[in-house]
Amino acid sequence: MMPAVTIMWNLMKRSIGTVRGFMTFIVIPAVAVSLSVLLFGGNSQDTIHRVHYVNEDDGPLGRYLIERLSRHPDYELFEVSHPDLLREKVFKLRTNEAFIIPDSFTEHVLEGRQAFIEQIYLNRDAKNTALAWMLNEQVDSMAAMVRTLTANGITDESDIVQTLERHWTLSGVNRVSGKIGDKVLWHRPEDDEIGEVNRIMVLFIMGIISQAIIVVVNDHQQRTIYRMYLAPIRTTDIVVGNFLGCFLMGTFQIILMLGITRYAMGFQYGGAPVVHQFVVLVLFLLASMGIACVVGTFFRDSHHIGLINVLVVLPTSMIGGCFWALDDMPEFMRKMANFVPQSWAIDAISTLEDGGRWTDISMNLLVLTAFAGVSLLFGAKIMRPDID
Amino acid sequence: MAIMTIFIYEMKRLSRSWMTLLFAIIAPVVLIVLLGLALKDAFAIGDRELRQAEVVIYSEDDGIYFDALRQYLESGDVRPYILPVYAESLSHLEERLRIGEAHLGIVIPGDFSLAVLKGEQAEWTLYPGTGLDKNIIAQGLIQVFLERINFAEHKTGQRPSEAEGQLAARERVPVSLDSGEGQVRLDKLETFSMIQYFSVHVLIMSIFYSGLMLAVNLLYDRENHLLERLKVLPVKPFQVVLGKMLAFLVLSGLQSAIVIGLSASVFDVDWGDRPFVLALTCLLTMLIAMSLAFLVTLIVKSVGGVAAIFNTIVLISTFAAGSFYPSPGGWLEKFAKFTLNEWASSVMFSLMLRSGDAIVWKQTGVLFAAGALILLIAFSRFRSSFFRKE
Repeated sequence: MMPAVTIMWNLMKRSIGTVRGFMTFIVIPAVAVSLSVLLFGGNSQDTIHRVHYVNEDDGPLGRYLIERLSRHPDYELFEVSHPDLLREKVFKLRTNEAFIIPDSFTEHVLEGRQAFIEQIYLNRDAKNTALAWMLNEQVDSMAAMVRTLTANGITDESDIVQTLERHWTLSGVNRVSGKIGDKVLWHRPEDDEIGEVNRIMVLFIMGIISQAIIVVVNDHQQRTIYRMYLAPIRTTDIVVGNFLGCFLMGTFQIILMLGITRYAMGFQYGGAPVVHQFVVLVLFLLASMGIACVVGTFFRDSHHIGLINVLVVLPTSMIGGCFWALDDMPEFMRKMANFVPQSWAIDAISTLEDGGRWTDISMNLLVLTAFAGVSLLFGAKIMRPDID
Repeated sequence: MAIMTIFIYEMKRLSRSWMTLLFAIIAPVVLIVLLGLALKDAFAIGDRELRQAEVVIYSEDDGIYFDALRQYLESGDVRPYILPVYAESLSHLEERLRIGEAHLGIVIPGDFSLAVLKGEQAEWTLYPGTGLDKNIIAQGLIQVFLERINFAEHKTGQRPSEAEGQLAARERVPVSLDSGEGQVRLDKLETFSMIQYFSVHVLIMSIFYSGLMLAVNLLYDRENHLLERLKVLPVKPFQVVLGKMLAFLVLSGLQSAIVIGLSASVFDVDWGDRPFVLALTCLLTMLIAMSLAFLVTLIVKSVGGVAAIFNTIVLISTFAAGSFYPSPGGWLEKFAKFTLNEWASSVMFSLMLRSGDAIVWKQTGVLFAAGALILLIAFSRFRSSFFRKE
């Protein structure tokens, strides 16, 4: 078995032994997954309203409205310079809470006419509904105030503005407020964020392993693999060596990703045990290797295989739920998802996060193993010198 | 002229390579069809149904503001969203939250009404329970009520009867968004659909990958000593690169036309009413992608390395610009400003939204500047020794 180890060692040296290879195969994916933990792993879903707005009002009331809202502990406001840019932000899914204060806002309120705030959104959800109530309340208060003042004989516009101003300075500190209590009575599960981290991890494992197969394909093209055959070794040595090389690289990558996110960054993956998660990912790695090998046998040319990301990794990851939750897809697509390993791996990890253990994910492990077995059986010939 | 010769030769080569056509034409079509089929209905952005939240209230106060709250919660507009449960004790309240029955808990201190009337600081304590949407809805309505107290109190001075009158007078809350009542006019972006969103990003990504195809082509020709042989001819090295670039620009243009045409005709994607600007944006995007790929080829020597680095660049910028996952915002959104995807998609979305010319041209200008800069850097680093296989 020694020649196999040598081949394995050489394969690894050539792919991750150089500074550049180490950076591209090991460091960058690990950094990317860590970043995704930073971005999605935090408590990004909360009750804070992050609102984008455009203030086109030339009078003081629009400014007051913004000031008042931004003092509210539940609201974070971001100014945008143009209504078109605000619409674009909503269109780009950057926010679903946005409003425009129209240019004649102050005028309308002072004249006692209806003053509309324009709220922009894609779909109605809890947050923008609450925002609409809040905006409505604020404008309503202003209007009511103006009515009271007018009824009391104050009709001069600057007087009204002054009175409003005084009122706002007075209530600058909200005397009455609702504070979130310190005692945590309910732990909110953060399914979505954990899901996103796992999907990115699965995506990267698949991407890396397809890059590793390139080295093997390249060996074919350069006839290196035939030259190896000149040495007193058997075909199995070459197959096993190539296989182990790819496998160890992927495993090293998984260990690194899990190590950094779990132990350096303290991300708990919703309580999924590390051993279970590792086993799922390793099986997924084997299945990905198999698929990459099968693809490799079709595209024998290494300068084409560099593009398999577009043709194989991306579509299968889409169907497999790497980009969006499987539940969001229509029925027939969900059935199709069963034919790619990504869906089984992601499903297994989310089962683990929901408290599932070996017996609950046994089906997933079985399917992943079958995937790996069948595809490697067909794909392994790419690692043999005696084809063509 | 030399450029044209190289260009024509390269076009012939491209047209003979079925693999190239496969990647260039079929891949984006597959992606669009996949996305279109998968997401046409599922991702049609639907309004979230808002259901009634259970709010458990424990009040040690029985003053006017507690009464006002009861009235407020019973009012026809609030009732559909909040089911109030009045707890007998603090532990009862905690229990309902802990077992996941209540969506929000409110504790009102004993001296609340008195403190408000005296003009002192007063505070409710809120405990979020299960159900994020219901938390938000319930908290939103409670915040509206608190705002109202704030407002009434400041407006009327300290007399209880008057404050009560003020609250009662404004008991009605037009909370239903669809009724068109109230002070907020709703502007739902009806033109949006998920397939629209993904079409833009798939288009940009496939343009990006045509850059990689150019890079691979260059490296391949160098590997096979073709570039070295070209040096014998009276052709300057940069002319070879420009000729090849032109060929891939044409290929990528064809690819973009197919993506745009297919998405528009089959999936009703609206690309706006300024086809010239759209074409220009695609062209600038191609230019940036190719210059970038060329630059990477100058730095990294092997096909695998170029593919890995280029893929990483594409993945990171695609991700930062929120192409497949909506961007989580924050600093990533600031980082996205440095990506091709962000600016190219901005122009395309602006066109779809029919934004003003000033905005569209400004965004196109950024693309132009970036393209020019990268092209300049790439060609200033370019040496004819690049053609020699090491």
